[in-house]
Amino acid sequence: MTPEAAQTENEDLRARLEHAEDTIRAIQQGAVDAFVLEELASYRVFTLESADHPYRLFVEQMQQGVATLDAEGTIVYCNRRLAEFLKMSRENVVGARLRDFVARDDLSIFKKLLLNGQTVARRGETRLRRADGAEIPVFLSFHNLSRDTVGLIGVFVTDLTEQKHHEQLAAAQEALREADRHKDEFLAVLAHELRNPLTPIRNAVDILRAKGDDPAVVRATTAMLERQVGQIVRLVEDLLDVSRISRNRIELRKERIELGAVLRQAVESVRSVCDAKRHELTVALPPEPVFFEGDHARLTQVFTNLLENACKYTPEGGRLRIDAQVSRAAPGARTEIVVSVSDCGIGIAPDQLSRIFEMFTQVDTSLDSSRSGLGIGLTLVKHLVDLHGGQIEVHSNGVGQGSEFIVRLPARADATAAQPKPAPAKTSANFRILVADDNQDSADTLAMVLRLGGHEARATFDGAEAFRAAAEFRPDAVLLDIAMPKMNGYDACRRIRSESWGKAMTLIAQTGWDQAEDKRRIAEAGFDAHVVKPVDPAALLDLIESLAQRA
Amino acid sequence: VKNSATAPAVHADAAVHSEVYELRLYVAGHTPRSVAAFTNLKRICEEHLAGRYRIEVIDLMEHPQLAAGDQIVAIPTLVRKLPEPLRKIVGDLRNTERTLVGLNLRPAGPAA
Repeated sequence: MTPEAAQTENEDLRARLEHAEDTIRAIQQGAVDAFVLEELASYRVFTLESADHPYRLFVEQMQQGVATLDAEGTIVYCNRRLAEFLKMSRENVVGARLRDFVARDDLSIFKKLLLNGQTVARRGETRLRRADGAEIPVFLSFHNLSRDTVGLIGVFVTDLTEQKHHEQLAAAQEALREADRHKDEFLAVLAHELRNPLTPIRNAVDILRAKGDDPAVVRATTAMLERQVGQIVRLVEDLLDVSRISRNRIELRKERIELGAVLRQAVESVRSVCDAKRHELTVALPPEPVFFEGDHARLTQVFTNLLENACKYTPEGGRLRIDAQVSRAAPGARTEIVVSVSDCGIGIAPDQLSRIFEMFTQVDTSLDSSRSGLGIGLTLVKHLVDLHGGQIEVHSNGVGQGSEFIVRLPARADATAAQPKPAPAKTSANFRILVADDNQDSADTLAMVLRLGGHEARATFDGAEAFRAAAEFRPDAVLLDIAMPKMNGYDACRRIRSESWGKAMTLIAQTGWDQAEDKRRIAEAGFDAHVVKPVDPAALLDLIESLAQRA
Repeated sequence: VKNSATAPAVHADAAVHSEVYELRLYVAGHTPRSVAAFTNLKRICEEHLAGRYRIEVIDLMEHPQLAAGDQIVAIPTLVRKLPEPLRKIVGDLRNTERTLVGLNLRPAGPAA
């Protein structure tokens, strides 16, 4: 070796030694925090724990849950947030499989995300079950942690509770807005519908004033008045039913009733509308009477409504059909009454079918008078059918294809066994009736109608006057309004009942409301019965008569 | 990912110190020592080599194979590619004097 070569080698060795010493010093001083390891010409970098500390802090404190899964889907690491979210200690979370925390109903969803430790999809929604059993909506996002081989999987868990809550609030708000819009439309239609009968009624006043001495004119005008007033009464009753539906206050008066009677009455009440539009109405009833438990008046309302709709939404000269049968499909199966009301009218578009039973929905919202109505009929129908434990469905092949409504009502197996209810024996007695109402026109006209029927009737306009009149007139029955000046109906009733002559007197309350609370107060005050305004004189007389018979 | 920080080459005493320093800093992601080494290196270069240095940062976390070229063992490590001869300084360059000696900007003291 030449002296120059030795010199070079010496310098090289010194440089290497210096580098080695430099490296050791840096390690001892903590000036390095990562090392490169070489294995079969493959290099890997390892960091000291202190180097990872900031990342650890970051992962531990983040508001998302984080877990590391091994190839079998077992949790090998989780951050504090995930353990808190699951309401478990970290020791219990680590070692469990992530799928053990997935809500049972969501396992199939989860399997679409992670199957046999392999991520199938990279992200998706599911629900995780906490230690306390609550199931929380989460968003899972999977990431392969190993660069080269399949091994560790990182998963982020985002709690969606708050987001879902916001979504629900937004949806509820939207629904409210929609309902509000429907109510506005409804009010517009209602105003229109209420105004319609007023014009002919006002005209009738003028006609009667001028031509009141012509019996033919009086007959025609009163018939018209009856129709228009009937229209207003129907509207107001529908309105009351809307309020009852929204407060869930409709109660059925169930008794043993006969299907044919219900349907015949419904057909009868639409007969004039039907004839006016020259519709051909086919009625197909079972050959034998069908008895079942139900509310006669309410079911009549159901079929009247369906028939009216059929009339209304079918162009003149159409064919309508009402078809009733009792189905006993299988032995032991529920016996069902199936009534179908079909028409060949304007039909229903497919997208409207599902909404047709919703409140205030009308297929055609224009104010075309031929298709007027409050848009509550079908809501009411569905509600009443539901209350009877039945179902209603609607079919239509589309606009212009007609529609069919099918009502199914539960019936007993012996539904067709004839058990006619004995009709109450009618007498035609004359009564002394006292009417008390602070609406003087109401009281006067009712008393007038009763007198025309051969009864003795007197009208009073407040509670105190009613009590004095009762003492002096000694009527068979007193019809008391509830809200009256000086003395209300409850107090007047109690005063009359407290007198010896008033103990057996028939006392009937009349009111504009029929809330359960009022009914209770009416019974407590000592009334025998309760009627809702407007009072139909014929119905009032029937009631007085039946109460008199009972006594 | 390679990061280069190149400062303008014009300087008042360019005639005296005309050599351009080519430096290569090996780091491992954003470990505290890696970040400290880069910060220290930037500061020292700006103070002593303003306008005539170029720093290349090599992240071995991303590209571990690049450790082979300069035979890097501990991280961070600074390699002076130019001027020759090649010099390596291991650690986060916290000691400015030692770093200056390593970069040949100071004569080695008696203790070194």
